[in-house]
This record gives sequence, structure tokens and C-alpha cells, in this order.
Amino acid sequence: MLAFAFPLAAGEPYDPQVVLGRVVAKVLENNRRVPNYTCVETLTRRYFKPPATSLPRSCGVILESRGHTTPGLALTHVLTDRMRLDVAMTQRGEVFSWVGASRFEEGFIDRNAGLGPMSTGLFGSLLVLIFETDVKEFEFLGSQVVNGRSLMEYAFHVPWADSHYKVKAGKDWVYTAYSGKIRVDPETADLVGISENSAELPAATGECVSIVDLEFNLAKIGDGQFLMPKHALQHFVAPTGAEVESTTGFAGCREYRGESTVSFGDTPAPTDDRAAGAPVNPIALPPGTHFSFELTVPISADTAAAGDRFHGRLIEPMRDARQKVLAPKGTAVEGRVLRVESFPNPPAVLVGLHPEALEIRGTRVPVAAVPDWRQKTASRKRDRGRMAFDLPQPGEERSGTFRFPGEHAVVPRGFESDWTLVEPASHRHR
Amino acid sequence: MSTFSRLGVMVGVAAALPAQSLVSPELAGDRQRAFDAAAGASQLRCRIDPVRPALDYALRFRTGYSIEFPMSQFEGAGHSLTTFVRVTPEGQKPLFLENSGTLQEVPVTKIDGQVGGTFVVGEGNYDVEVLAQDDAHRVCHSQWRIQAKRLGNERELIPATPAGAVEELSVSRPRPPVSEARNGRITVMLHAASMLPRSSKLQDSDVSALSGSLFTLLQQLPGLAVRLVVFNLAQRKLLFRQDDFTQADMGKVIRAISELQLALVDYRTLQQAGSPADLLTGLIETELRDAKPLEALIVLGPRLFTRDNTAIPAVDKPVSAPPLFYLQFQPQSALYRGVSGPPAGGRGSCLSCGAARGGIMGEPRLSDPQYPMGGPLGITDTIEKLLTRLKGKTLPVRTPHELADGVRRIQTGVGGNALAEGTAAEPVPKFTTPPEGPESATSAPQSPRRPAATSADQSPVAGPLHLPDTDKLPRVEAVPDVDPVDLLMRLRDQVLEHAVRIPNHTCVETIERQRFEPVVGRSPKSCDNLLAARKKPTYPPRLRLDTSDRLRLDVAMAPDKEIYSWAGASRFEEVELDEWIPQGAIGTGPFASFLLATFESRTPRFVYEGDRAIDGRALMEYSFNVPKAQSQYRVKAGKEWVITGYTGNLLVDTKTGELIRLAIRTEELPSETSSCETDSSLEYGSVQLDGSDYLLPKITHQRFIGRDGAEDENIVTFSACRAYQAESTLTFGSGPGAGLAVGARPDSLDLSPGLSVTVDLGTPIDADRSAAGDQIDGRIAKPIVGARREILVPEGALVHGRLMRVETRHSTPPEFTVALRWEAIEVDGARVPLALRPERGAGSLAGIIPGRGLRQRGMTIELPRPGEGSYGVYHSRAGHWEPGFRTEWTTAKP
Repeated sequence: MLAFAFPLAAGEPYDPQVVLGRVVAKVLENNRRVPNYTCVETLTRRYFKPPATSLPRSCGVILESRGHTTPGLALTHVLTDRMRLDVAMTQRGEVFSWVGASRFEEGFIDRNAGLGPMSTGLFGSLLVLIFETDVKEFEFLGSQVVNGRSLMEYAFHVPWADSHYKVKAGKDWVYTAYSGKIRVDPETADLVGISENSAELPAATGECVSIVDLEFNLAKIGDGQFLMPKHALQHFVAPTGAEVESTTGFAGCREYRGESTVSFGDTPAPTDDRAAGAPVNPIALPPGTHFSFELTVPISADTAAAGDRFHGRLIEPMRDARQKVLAPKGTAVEGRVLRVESFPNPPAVLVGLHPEALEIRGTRVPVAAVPDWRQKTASRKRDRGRMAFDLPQPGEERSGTFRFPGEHAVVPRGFESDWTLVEPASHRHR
Repeated sequence: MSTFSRLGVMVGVAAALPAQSLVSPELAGDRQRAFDAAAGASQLRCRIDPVRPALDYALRFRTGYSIEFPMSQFEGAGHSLTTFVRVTPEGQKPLFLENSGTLQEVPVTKIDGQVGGTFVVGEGNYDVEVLAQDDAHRVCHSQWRIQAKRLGNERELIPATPAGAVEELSVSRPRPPVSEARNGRITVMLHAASMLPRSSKLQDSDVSALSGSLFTLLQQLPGLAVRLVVFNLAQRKLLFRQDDFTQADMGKVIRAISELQLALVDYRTLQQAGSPADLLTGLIETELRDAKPLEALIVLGPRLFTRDNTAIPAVDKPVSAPPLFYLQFQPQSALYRGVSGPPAGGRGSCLSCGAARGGIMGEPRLSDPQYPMGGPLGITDTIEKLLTRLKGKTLPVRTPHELADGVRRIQTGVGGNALAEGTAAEPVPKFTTPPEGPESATSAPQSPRRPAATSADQSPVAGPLHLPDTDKLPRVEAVPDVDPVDLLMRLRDQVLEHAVRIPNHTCVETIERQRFEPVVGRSPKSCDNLLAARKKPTYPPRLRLDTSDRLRLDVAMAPDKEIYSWAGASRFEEVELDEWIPQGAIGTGPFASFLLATFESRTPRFVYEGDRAIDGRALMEYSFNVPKAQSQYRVKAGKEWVITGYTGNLLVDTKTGELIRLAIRTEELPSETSSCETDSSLEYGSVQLDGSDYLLPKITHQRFIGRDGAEDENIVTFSACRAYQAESTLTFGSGPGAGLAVGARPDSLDLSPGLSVTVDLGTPIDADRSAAGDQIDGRIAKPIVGARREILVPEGALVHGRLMRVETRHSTPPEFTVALRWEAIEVDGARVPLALRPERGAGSLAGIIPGRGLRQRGMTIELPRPGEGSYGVYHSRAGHWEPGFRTEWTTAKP
């Protein structure tokens, strides 16, 4: 049930109340009719740090300062990272997986979002909150012309008691009040955009506020046109004054197909989409076996994202302890990029690689491997050199993290790395 | 303790008194009864002053007392004086020492007499009581508390006296051998000469320094057979030579060098061809060419000022020559910790102890030379020249602390293999930990050993911090099948688990702060030069301990930083630590931030540096570098903050994955910080809280290196860690009740400003143990009377307050200062806030005529430090303030 407050409606060519009613009806209908669908979500996060003179201070001061930026508060860009995911809207909310994986997993974001903040409501949940569950009243603000298009703007405010907007605070979730605006096209009654910002968040969240700006368009899914988020710009502001600007783009939206089912993590599932229908693996690769591969496709820090697939091939035959060849030289190696981080100062790129399978004589053989530091350690002992390395992040234990100079580095084709097979079961340390 | 006016003349009567001796256990009961009976005995007028512990060259803590008394009490002949000392090591039974003697006939006189006594203690805290009793059974009594604490490299050495032990002063008393095994041999060549260039015989201080140092070498290099060669270059004479020399033979050496008549030169010596340098060269060549290989050759002696211009003969150094060291004793022109007081006499004697009253008993200061520090122009030390030619190392020694530094370098140079295994010897630094379990909030921190120092910081800079020197740790073969990346990931996971749990806990953080000043005075220098000079092994010690103080705080982890309050306060402060503790260097981070910053967010790029060993424990060493752009390390620069990059170093136990040490060093800091660099070294261990292990530093050393050459060192320890309880909530702010203990009621007491308040201290304050932040109690000594003479607060009302500063100025004699404030008063069983300012009116200042309040020209005033306007500041030479200490205040606006 919505109530409307339109004190500024006089003189408008369209009746704000009528327009809003049409928009709400259209959004509800959209939400009702939209089929099960999935999109590829690409998330690019840029991290900014304040100068040292900006002490950690109350969120009120920080938020007030944002409106009056002074040189002392000028932020410095320190890092960019990127992720690419499949996202699906289900009855249980938004669920995620790596791109092309057969299986969506609840809790996937907690395990794979890396160290940056991430919102999981942009894809569709926000529409439900604003137009179905939370907002009790809209206030018409006026009309404005954006890119030659006349839009009407309405404000909303959701107190904490009515809110279903959740924010992660440590291991728990907390509800927060929020407010914002919607922009609608009075001619078509289409929702064009939403600007929303949370109330000041509890300290346990590690953030002062989350601010999001969403743009919508109509996208073809199956046989119909549906209201879809096209682009989102989100800011997370920390009590330290640090900010993260997160840009989310959605592409490749499609209806679920027969071969692309959504399952959840309660039941065992293969690690890869194609593995679901693969024959039982007849090739045993014993843990402890060493192998080296080279990339066959370069990875560019400017375009690659965590979640992308990488491709390589063995540069030496993989042999067991008795020197029996398990996989010949040139065997295809496939895996997932787990991390793409770009640092402007000092300029460097960190890329995490997670080998997943070998294509041995036409058979896809899943593998779990960790970088093999033994050779480097041994050589370091020989020549008293130093062995520098980057630690995989928690949850990335079965991956290798590699550093390359330059903010826009390209991991070249032919890049070689050494690995050791490990048990594919649970995480080693966790 | 009785006091009396000092007269201008004093005589020492100690020579008539025998030594301070330990009382056998069977007589302990009698001595105990003597102390018990003292309360009812008639009083002997005297003044007893403590002599606080300080190291001597045998690396023992000497301590004692001096007694001053009017000799008129003993007019006539046949009087005697006996002194009993009861020393109670913390947590142990008391031990008794005594001396007694007959006084020579005393004529009618107004002069004062003086006696003293010296004994030795191991590291620890002790209660000392001294009872002087004359032949008429009149007594004089005093008591105090002392703390013996090793600093810097002193901690890396085997204690000469076990912790908590009380011993008589005796260099020659042999210790039981720690090991019968002999893994190699060394030669010690002792040059029996005086620090005074033209002295006719060795001074007591010379004998003490040389024999004590020899004792130390024997003690610290166990497992090695020692050949001792004693010689004198001026006389071109070999005085003593013995293989398998042990501590049991010390008496022979002391006799030999004490009897040496430097002014007598045998005519035959003059007839001999050759120079002193020839003698020295011959002695050294003999040792280097010995068929049995040497682990080291150590020359020990005072810096030479003889004008020996003969060329140093050529010496063929064997290819496999051992490391050579020259412990070169140099007179000092500045006082160091523990260097004051009289020359040490015989066993337990104390001649002319007046200079040591209330001071620090330590090794006698090496005699001031007639020449400047660098020696007269054109004169060089023959031994140093020869040792330099042989690529030996000259290790200057001006204080016992520097001797400890030198011995550590020798230990490192001799190498771990030669030193006995399974003995108390430690070829490499050994980590020990303070006793487990919570400590009381007023207990002084223990003194665990320092971590190993890095080669970059081997400098013998005075003061306790010698930064982590993993290069000094022996490199060992890697433990097979341990992946250094895997090991560090395990540690990272452990730290992340810790990060989840630590915010639920708080600990008491005790910070011991020491301020070191340049001996030659402050002068701005470029950090490049200063830091480079500090890293040179030959960098001369140029700092002296100036002041020290102690803070006790509660610390907890907020989401983004460490937060603090005074210990036991109900609220954590909202402002930065440096804003409410503005004086002195202070840093945050040891509780959790340093460790979490290393692992919690984007980890830096680590470098596996190799495998190390400490005490047989295999370790992996890592380093990392956090550039400024990615750093969150903030340093105060005036009122602003700057971010600095830093480097770090980790030592991880290869088998268990436990973190052993984290060291953090900032980049060179910008000039506006007034500092060149800050170094932190955190030694970790698991602490059990609620059945879970937490990673907490057992001890942290933070060193702040100033641009003007001054340095600060903070030693941080944690104790009494506990989970938040229901009644102990974590709150912030300065609202009602801030600063009061939990349970305070925010009721108010209507006391108009300007009323006189007299408070008698109830809680004893001891500069050796108390800390700023400790809570204290007192009682209203006189009723607080209103303007109409009505009694507002009755006599005896309980007041509560807090120590705000506990500081020691290490002058001669030392000065102790406390600043305190009263915060609350109990009225009708309720604790209400109390605002007082110290009475600075009539009579409270020197120079004001008592009772009239008239100010005089030339009167002494002490301006309160910024922020201390409402604190009472009190000074003492004794370092303790007993219950009943009276302080005058006036009420102030809250």
C-alpha cells in the first residue's frame, strides 16, 4: 500500500500521482512476469584513500566533509579490482556463481567477493524493497530534463522499523534505514533510475554509508521486454574517510535454459559446467605430482576480471613418481582467474590463477593444485637469494598469486608457473 | 625513619665495620626477632638511604644502603654499631645480612658519621629493611622496595646472579661449573694497567673493573677452556699465565694485579731490547701459533695513553686465525645508568658513601682521565693498533652495560658451535617469557629477554633497544617439506581467527618509557647521517638515560584502531592517546593493530629470507615492505598526521606455525615529525583467555629516534587480559563518571571553590612499581570547612584518585617525581566526583614565609607541566611515598 505526498505538483504537465501509480503498477507487473533469468555482472571497484591528516572520525563528520571537499580530504586512488559473475534472481533472492558455472551457490559472495565491499541487492532486490515491501510514501520533487528526456523525480524514506534493507556487520546482518529518489519517464511510465543511500551505518559494518545510483532499461529476456538494471554506481564510505567506488554493469541477460539449471550448494556438484555431464574420470592424478604450464591466452589487467577463465598448456609431460607420463607435454590446462588487482603506486598488477582441469587425451580431468615453491626455495638456498611471493587470500588457497610490474600489465602468453597437485577435498587450512 | 639536620662535616666509619655477610638460616629467627623488637626500642638518631641496584662489571646488581648519624651519640670509647638487613625477594622468604663493628673513640663533636653496606641481588623486586642498632640497643630503621632489571643486551647474557637471589659481594667466589664439557678454547689476555695514565698502582676501580670483566667473560663463555695471560706493557712483564683458568682462580688474579707496583720498573727490563709492542706481539703470536686451535683471542684492558712510537712489528696472522677482540676500557666523561657512587672497597665495605645517598649503587665510575676522550694528540693505543692490523675488533667499554654489549658481540663472533650445549650458555638469543597468568595491575612488568638484534643495528648505543638482528641468528638448513608460503598462510589464518575474537577482550597495558639524551647535548643532524652512524659497529655510545616513567592503561580493539583508558576506568577515551598523554613518546599498535595490519587486509608482498634457529627452535624468516601509498601507519607531525611506509620482519616457528616475533621499522620520517625513525619489535606468545589462545606480544620494544640525537624507548607489556563482562561494558566519552572506577555514582557534592583540603595518602607509591594510571586512595586529614565554618566533609573521609605521572630522573642522585589527582570522595557511602587543585599558596612553595603568605624574591617555583595544573606534583630522592604522606589542596570548579 503506497501513499503519496505531492506538494509541488502544481503546474506539472503530468499528474505526479497518476504517473507514479502507472510506474508502480508497471514495476509490479514486471516483477510478476519476469521469468527466471540470469545476467553476467561485471564489478569494477576503485579504492580511494584519504590523506593521513584525515583521522578516523565520526561518520557524521565524514559525511558532512564529503559535501565540502577540501584539499585536506582529497582522496588518492590506490587500487582497482574487477570481478565477473553470473547472477540470477530467484525466489530466494539474488544468487551468484562464477561465469558459466552450472551451479549457483548461496554464500558465494561471502566466499569470493575478495576484500572489498559488495552489494547484492542491485540486480532486482532493490525494486522489490522500494515498490513492494518497504516504501510507504513517495514525495514528488519535480521534473527535470536529462539528456533531452523529461523525467519526474520522487523521494522516499524508509525508517529502520519498516526496512528490509540489510547490511553485513561482521558475521551478522543488520537492518538499516534508507532513503532516496526514483526517476521516471512520465510518457512511458518506465522507471529510469534510482538513487538510494543508507542511513548512517553501525560501526560494526565498517562503513558510514552506502550510496547507490542505478540506471534501468528494458532488456529482452526470452520473448519479452523487461525492466533491467543497466548500470550501477555505488559508493561505500568508511569512517576512516576511505571510499570505494563500485561500478556494476549487467550484460548477457537470458532466461534459464534447460541445460542451465540453478541448483544450490547443499548437494555435491561438479566444479565445472561441462563436468556435470562428463564421463567418470578414468585418469588418476596422484597428489604431490608436479607440473608446469604456460598461458596460451594473455590476461590483460585492464579487461580481465576475477571469474574469467584462463587457458594454458603443459610445458613438460606430467609424470608420476616412477616417471610414468600421466599427461603429455602440451596438454590443455584450464582454470579460473581468482583475482585481478591493479595498483597505481607502485604500479603493479596482482593476478590469481586457479587451475581447475586438464584435458588429457580428450578427457577432462579436474585437478586441485597449489603453486610449487620448492624449486624456488631450493634455488634460494643455493644462491642465498630472496624468494618474494604474494599470499593467496583466504579462500584462495588452491591458487597462485602472481605479481607483474605496471598498473596496466598484461600477463603474456607463455607465462610459466609451477604447481603441485593436492587433494581436491576440503581446504587445506580451514 | 628519623631525620636530622645535616652538618657540613661527615666522617666515614665504615672501615671499622666488617663486611655485610649473609646470616645462616639457623640464625634467621634471631634476626627476625631483632626486627620485631625494633618498634619498642629507643631511637637512634640516624638517616638511612637506599642505594638502588645497578650493574657492576661482573654484571651483578649491587645494591645497599648508607646510614648517616651524628657522631655525638657515640661520644667516648667502646661503642659498637650493628646493621641488620632483611631482604625479601618478591614471593620468597626473607634473607638476612648483617655487619657489626666497634667504633673508635669519639671525642666531643658535631660531625656526622656514615656507614654503608653493599650486597648483590639477582633480577627481580625486593623489599629491603635496614635496622641499625648500637651497643645501647637504640635502633634506627627504614625500609624500601627495589627493582633490579636488566636492559638491552644485558638480558641476552646469563645472569651472574639468579633472579630473586641475594648474595654477598664477592668477585672471587667461585660458582659451580655449568658444564664440564669443553668444546674449544680461548685465550684471554688481561692487560693489568690503570685507567689513570700515570698512576703508581692499580686503583680499586681498576681492579674491580678488570676482575669483574674477567669474571663476566668466564661466566658468559662456558664450555670453553680458558687460558689466561696477565701482562703489563709498561713493565714489559708477563704477570700470570694459567691454562684451564676458572672462576675459582679469580683470587689469584686479583692478588696479582692488586700488588702490581706500576711505578717500579725492573732495571733489567730497561736493559732488554724491544718495546712494549714487541712484548704484546710476542704474546699474541704465541697464542695464534699454538698447536691447539683457538676459538677466540680476547684482550682486556684499559685504553693506553703511553707514548710508544715504535712501529708495530709485523705479525703473520695464520690463515685460520680465530676472531680477535679487544675489550678496551675507556674512562667516561658522562654518567650512565648505574655508574655513580664510590669506588668499591673490599667485601661489602662502603667508604664515603655520601655520594651514593639515595642513589644508584653500581660499578665505580672509571676514573676521569687527564686526557680528553680521544686521547692526547699523537698517542695511540698500541693494543688497538696491533689488533686492528690483525683485523680484530676493538669494543669500547665505558660502563657495565657496554661490557654486556661487547660480550654479546664476542659470543656472536665465537659462534654457537663452540659454546657448550645444554649449559646455561646461549650461543644465540634465547626467548624466555614472563610468568603466565594475569598480573596485578600494580605489578611491575617482568623483563623477558630482548629479541635478537639485526646486524644493521649492532651499534652499542646506550639503552635497551638493539633492534631485531636476524642476521645474528644462525642460518640453518631448511626443515624438509615445509613450504614457506604454506607456513605463512597458516599463520595468516591464525591471525584472522584472532582478529575476530580480540575485540571482545581488554588487557592492562604497562608502558615503561625511557628517555635517552645525547651525552654531548642535542644537535640537529640529518637522518641519513644519524641512522648510518648508528649502524656502524664502531659507533661510540653517546646516549645516557635521562628520565624514565611508567604508564598503566586499559587497551581494547575498536573496529579501526586501538582504544585506551586509564587502567580500571569505566570508559575508553574518544580522543587519540597522544592527546590525553601529551608528554613523552607514545605509540599505539602493539596490542593488535600491527599484526592485523600485516595480515588482515591486502597483505604485502612477502620475502622468504631463509631458515633460522633460536635455542634449537627452527624458524622461518620473512620480510615485507609496505610503501607509503599502501600504508596505514600514521605518525604525528605537530598537530597533523603523516603516513609513512614501513618494512617488517617476521619469525615463525617452522614446526608449530607460531609467530615468534614481528619487527616493524618506519621509513625515514619527514622532518615535521621531529623523528628520524620508529622501530618496534614485538615478541609473541599465546595467552590463554577463556580457554582459547590469543596472540599477544609478551613484550614490545618501541624505539623513537629523534632528529636531534635524543631517543626514546618504550617497553610495553600486557597483563590481566579478560573478556568483557556484563558489568564491564565498553563505552566511550567524557560524560558523567568519566575517569571514575566502575560503580561510581554521579552524585555531586556542593563544595564551593577555594576551600582548603588536606589529604593523607593511603596507598603507598613506589617509583619502582607504580605507574601513571594506577588508582590511589587517601583520607581527608582535616574536616573540609565551609565559609561559615560548617563542616562539609568530615575528617577521615575516603578519597580516590589516580597517579598521573611516575617519573625518574636519572641524575646523581636520582630524582623521583609523582603527579597525582584526586577524583572522587566517599560521602555517606556514596562516591561522588571531587575537583581539587594543589595548594600553591602560602607555605607550599619554598621562599614563602609560612603563615604570612608573603612572597620573596628568589623563591623557587615549579611551573606545572601543560595539562598538569590540577595535579599535585611531588619529588623525592627516595622514590617512595608512604601512607600518611600529606598533601594540601583547594577545591576547584568541576
